[in-house]
Amino acid sequence: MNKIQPAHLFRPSALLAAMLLATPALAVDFHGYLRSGIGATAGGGDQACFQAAGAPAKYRLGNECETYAEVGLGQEVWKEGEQSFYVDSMIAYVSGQENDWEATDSEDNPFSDGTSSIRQFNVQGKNILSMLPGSTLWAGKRYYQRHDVHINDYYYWDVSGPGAGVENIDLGFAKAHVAWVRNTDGDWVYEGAGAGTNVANDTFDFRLNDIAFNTDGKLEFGYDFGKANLTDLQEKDPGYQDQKGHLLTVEHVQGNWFGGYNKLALQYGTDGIIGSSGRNSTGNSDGDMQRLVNQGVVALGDNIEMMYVQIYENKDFDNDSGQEWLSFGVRPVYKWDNVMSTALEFGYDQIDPQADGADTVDLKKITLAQQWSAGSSFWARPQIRVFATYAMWDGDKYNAASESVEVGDDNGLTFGVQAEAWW
Amino acid sequence: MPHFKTTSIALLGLLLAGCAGDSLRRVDALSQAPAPLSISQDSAMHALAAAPNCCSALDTLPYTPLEPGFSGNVVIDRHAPAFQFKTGKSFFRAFKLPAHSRSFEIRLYSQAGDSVLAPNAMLLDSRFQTTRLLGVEDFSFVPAQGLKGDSLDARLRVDRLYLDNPGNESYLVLYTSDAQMAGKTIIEHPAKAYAKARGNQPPNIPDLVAKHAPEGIIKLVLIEDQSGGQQANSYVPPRSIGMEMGNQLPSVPAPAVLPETQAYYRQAIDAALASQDLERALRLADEAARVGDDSAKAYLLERIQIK
Repeated sequence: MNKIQPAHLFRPSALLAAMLLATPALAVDFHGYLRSGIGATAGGGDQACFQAAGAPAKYRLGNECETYAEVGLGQEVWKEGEQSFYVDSMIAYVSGQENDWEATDSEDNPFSDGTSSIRQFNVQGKNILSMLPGSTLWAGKRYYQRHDVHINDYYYWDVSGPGAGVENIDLGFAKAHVAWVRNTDGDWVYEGAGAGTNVANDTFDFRLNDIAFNTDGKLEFGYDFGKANLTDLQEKDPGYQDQKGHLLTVEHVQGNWFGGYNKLALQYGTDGIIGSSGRNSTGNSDGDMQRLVNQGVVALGDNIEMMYVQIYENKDFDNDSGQEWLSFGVRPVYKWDNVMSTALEFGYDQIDPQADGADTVDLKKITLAQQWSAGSSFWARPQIRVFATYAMWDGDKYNAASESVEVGDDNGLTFGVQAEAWW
Repeated sequence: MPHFKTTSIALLGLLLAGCAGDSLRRVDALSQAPAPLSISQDSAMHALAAAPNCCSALDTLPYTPLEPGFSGNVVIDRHAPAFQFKTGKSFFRAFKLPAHSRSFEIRLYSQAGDSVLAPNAMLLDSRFQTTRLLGVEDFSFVPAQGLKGDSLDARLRVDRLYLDNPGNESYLVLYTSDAQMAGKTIIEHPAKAYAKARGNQPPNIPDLVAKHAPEGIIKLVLIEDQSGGQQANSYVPPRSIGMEMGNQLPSVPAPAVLPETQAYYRQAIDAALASQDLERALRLADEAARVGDDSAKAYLLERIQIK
């Protein structure tokens, strides 16, 4: 018989076989997102996408001109009792959706309009801090508790980036979350003597959420403090003024709200954090900002679901570079059966610049789409949609289109087919 | 930048290579699930109460034969036969499993919507003796992902290493029980599933509740092993009913070994070691253990000196 049996394990073929057989126990979570498709503009040319001048977002149904994808792989690599480590990763890709070959390397390639980005690489240790049972210690690049509006792809509270923190600290009445995250401004120029280094900004993010407020209603409070983290050289530069800012967020989420939910967020920010989702910007003037974001998904009868959003943002800068943004959108979806639905999206954006004499501009967009998705929920994906989009704007003041529309035009019509999936 | 691209393409390539061809079926997110049945709880309960008992015993259930690569939807509704199981009356579907295939895995996905059939699964050997009963602990809720819907899922392996063994699990019955129907399943709100897929903060809202109903639709997939023969696998029976293969578990401990027998084996082990025949010594220790002398192995180990 075989007296040296264990050595078999170290033969490459045996080892490989063992690894392959072991895969069910080592399942990798494959998650991600994609949107891609093809479109055209009535009158000729590639699909135009419409956005009001100065608006931080645009209503997205039938109004996205690029291919964007996120590929994420994650795995719980260790678990003992309640303690575990999870390793997560994500690369994002974007391209202009113009060619087959859209390289992500920039040089020596005529079709290099692709870009890739390292968005997430982090480790999350659950229950490993014995003094804080139930909490998660994490470090690395991460999408950190982002708050968004789906139908206009608007992120109003998002400090994602390289960071570290402790999540889900159980306080009884609430869960507490503490994080330190980084964002970096563009080149800082040393006064008089060429280019300096970039300016590193820190955000210290504190959140209290899962606070019971009313039946099926929860509250969340957040405080972000952002500041520049200057080197000695940057500190000594008399011509360089660093900036810091505070952002307060209060959010209320109501479940069981007309067959769906409603989410209301109020934010107040100052100086360096104005106009952003919580990241500091050293280039800002002093000032303050108020922002209201109200959104929800409701069921209107058995066959109609509708998402709606109202946004008001007032950025008031001391140097008059601010603006008021008013936005309103609805996307009702009528479900014909478990797979097919018809969606209508109407979106309105208005921008009123703070500077004297600057014109107020607006944009109205309406899209009709026939959709086929895996399931009938508003959130069911993957989905393929055939759409037509019509937009009107102040053509004498700005051009709202990304391409194929001439300066001076005040309306545009596009059509196309788009796929969207998340998993 | 090119490095990131290469790395991630390599990652993706690995992923795809790892599950190419037939094994793509093994990725739940890539295989389509049917829509859950839309039923009224009251009328379903009424229909169940009114349904006649189809059969007198488990061996007379109408068994439908399954092919090794089967993948399909099992509709358990008021048109299905009903049987008075020990756990309560239930509509059911019964299947005859492939008998001469390789070992295979059975995957069950009971589709959840406003309601869900919380399944029980019963496996029977060729003599219609129950080998395994799966219930509430074995079916776990797995949220929708990709083309897969919200469902209560279970996986089990059926062994075919020894064909023609009458103890092989040969029949599968899918049904539900009074205990299962008393429960409910919490379904993750789709808005939360979206948020998780995008790495966003899920809205803090209550999840949906699927009532446990007597009717439902179960996706059933059989995945045959790609190679025959002895294989290591991670299968552990989810539950023992103490009657596997129809045998009762022994309840009487083996009688104590006689001192003479013990002395005989020790002597023989010493002799084998003296002639440097380690394999013989090991076999003697094993044999001694079989006749009830567990101390022979310890005795042997004491004697062996690591050089």
